[in-house]
Amino acid sequence: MQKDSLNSEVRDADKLSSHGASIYYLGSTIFIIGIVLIVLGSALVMIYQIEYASEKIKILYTILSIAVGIILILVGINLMIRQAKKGYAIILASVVFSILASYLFYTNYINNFYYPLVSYIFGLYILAFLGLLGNAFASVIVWIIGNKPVYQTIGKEKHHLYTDEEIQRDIEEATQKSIETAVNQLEFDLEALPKDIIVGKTVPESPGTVIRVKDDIDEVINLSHTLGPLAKEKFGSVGIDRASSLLADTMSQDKKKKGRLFSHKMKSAEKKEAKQFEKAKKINEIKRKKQKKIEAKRKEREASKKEKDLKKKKIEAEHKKKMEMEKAHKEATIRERKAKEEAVRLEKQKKKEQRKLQKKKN
Amino acid sequence: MAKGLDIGTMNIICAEKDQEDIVFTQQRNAFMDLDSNDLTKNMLDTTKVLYIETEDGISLIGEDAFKFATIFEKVARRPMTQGIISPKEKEAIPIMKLIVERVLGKPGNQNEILYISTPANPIDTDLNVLYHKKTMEALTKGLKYETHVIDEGLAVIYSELSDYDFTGIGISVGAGMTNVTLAYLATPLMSFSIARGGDWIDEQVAKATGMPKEHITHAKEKISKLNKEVKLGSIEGALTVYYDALMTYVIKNLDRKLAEITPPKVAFPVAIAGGSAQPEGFFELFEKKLIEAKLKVELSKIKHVKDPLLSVARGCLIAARTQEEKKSYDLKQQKELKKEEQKEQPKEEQS
Repeated sequence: MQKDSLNSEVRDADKLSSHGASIYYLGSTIFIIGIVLIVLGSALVMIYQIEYASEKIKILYTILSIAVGIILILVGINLMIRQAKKGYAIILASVVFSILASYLFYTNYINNFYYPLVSYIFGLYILAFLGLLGNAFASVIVWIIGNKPVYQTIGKEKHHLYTDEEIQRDIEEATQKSIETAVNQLEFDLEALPKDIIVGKTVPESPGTVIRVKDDIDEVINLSHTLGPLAKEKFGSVGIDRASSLLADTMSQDKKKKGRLFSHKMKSAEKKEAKQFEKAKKINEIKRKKQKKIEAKRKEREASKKEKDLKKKKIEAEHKKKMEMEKAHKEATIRERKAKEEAVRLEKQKKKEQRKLQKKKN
Repeated sequence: MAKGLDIGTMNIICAEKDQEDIVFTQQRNAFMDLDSNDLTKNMLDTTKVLYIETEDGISLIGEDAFKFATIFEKVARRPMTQGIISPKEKEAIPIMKLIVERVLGKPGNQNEILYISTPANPIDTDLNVLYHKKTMEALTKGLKYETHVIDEGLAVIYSELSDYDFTGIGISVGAGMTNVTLAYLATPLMSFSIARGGDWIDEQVAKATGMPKEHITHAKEKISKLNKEVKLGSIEGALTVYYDALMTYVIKNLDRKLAEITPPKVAFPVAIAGGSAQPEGFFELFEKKLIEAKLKVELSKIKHVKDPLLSVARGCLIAARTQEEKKSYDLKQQKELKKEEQKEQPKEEQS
């Protein structure tokens, strides 16, 4: 079944092409005949030395050959050009009018060439001439426009014809998407180091070269402002391409709407965009400065708080020291007193013993 | 506290905030094989060299691998090549896991936010970076971090173009790849990479001068200045030539990609970072080439980055802390909503 339909399509295409070729050859033949007739007519003018007083039959043949020649040239050109709708109908009508005009002229020129018949003959001829000329012009214009197709009408439906680049891009995007989906579904089973790997002694101790840089990274505040609380970052080639193509589409649609006549409006729109960007930049700068001030104040407060805490700690430490010293002093005095009391008591005991010894002696 | 991690072909750098400072922990992404015996192990332990021991022998890790490679005239192996995990190195993933674990350390709290840098898809080769991204993400998630991924070029924009509302072009010239991102108000509009970087320069200079690649890498990191007036036959001359070639290549591809999009009509500043952008004279040369190229977008300023090597890690840290703040803001909002709902419930009950 499919083969039969294919074969019939091929046969139809062959027919069409042969039909087109035959019309073209017919047109070119008629064109040549027309040229020959005009040449003949021009020759007859010179041969017969046509003037006002020349014989009417000679004038008739001369005019007829030139007139018919002109019509045949126009018919030939029309047949050689690809016709728009109703093109062939216009050609046919023009040919009919020209034949009618020629016939009337031929039958009436010698004896009956008076108005209003002359105007009818002339009118018919002019209609035919203009019809053929206008039809040729219109067909050429349609052919020129038709060579830049984005839309091709097939029956009543319009179909978008994709360029090679668009097809390639769609294929790449679909491939990339499927790879990303497949890769995202992968689940790696990450075990610890393979058992046959023994780590050297220094490995656990040394992470690498350490570099310390004084840096507040204020960029974090700016990035939060720029992205906004609800914004999402998109990276990865599909996301970026989509963002870029959306931007391009938006800008190209704006351009199409405005068109060339409104190019000055485009320029002012671009200026507006740049102004808006500058405005947003300024606003962001002001926000950044405010945030920096707030941060600086906060840091000041924290620094002063730290200082106060340090002072407090110092005072506490001094107080503690003082207390300890006083305690130590007290303890020392108590010890002294005790020592003195002990010394006094020993003295007394000594004296007592001496008195006892004396008594014994006595 | 959140962390940023730059996983580069040559260096793995972690950035973390510690009071008023940012602490960068850097380790070379390289390893080198040595024959295993007790004497070697003792020597390595005494000199505190990082190494691991396998059935096949000893592998030195990190900066020491590079130093020993230069001394013993051996080749330092790299777990990553052209910005992604090397398919030729079987031990790439265990080595990288070890280095990343050492550099990152343990998370300070549960599901600590971590942003890791990954390259964009290259436009001059048919490499795909998705598998590498997923592997790195899984590796860090396995260490109990809440991992997010960010393009290297975008990390440079976050780090360096805050004064321009994160609008501009960020270029990271690394060892394996050069990443480029164009962003407008922190939203990336275009992102791509080129499979050429510092390693490509080393290879070309090594071929041109006949010297080993490790020597060239070492000389490149110690080079005084990129200058067109050099001694005949010197490495500096060859390095300048190939740096020039790399810049031209990057700018040509940037111009080509800019033709495919419709960027907003604003002036874009450019920030250039990355380990391979460190040599003195690099920015001046790149600036000159960018101005001469007359790109399809207007350039306002080409920013000289203070620490090109640390910029990507810093950008990742900024992204991580922003995410952390956003998370805490969302939590606050949820709590407030709950409170309001709880207040309304008793009122309804009374009525």
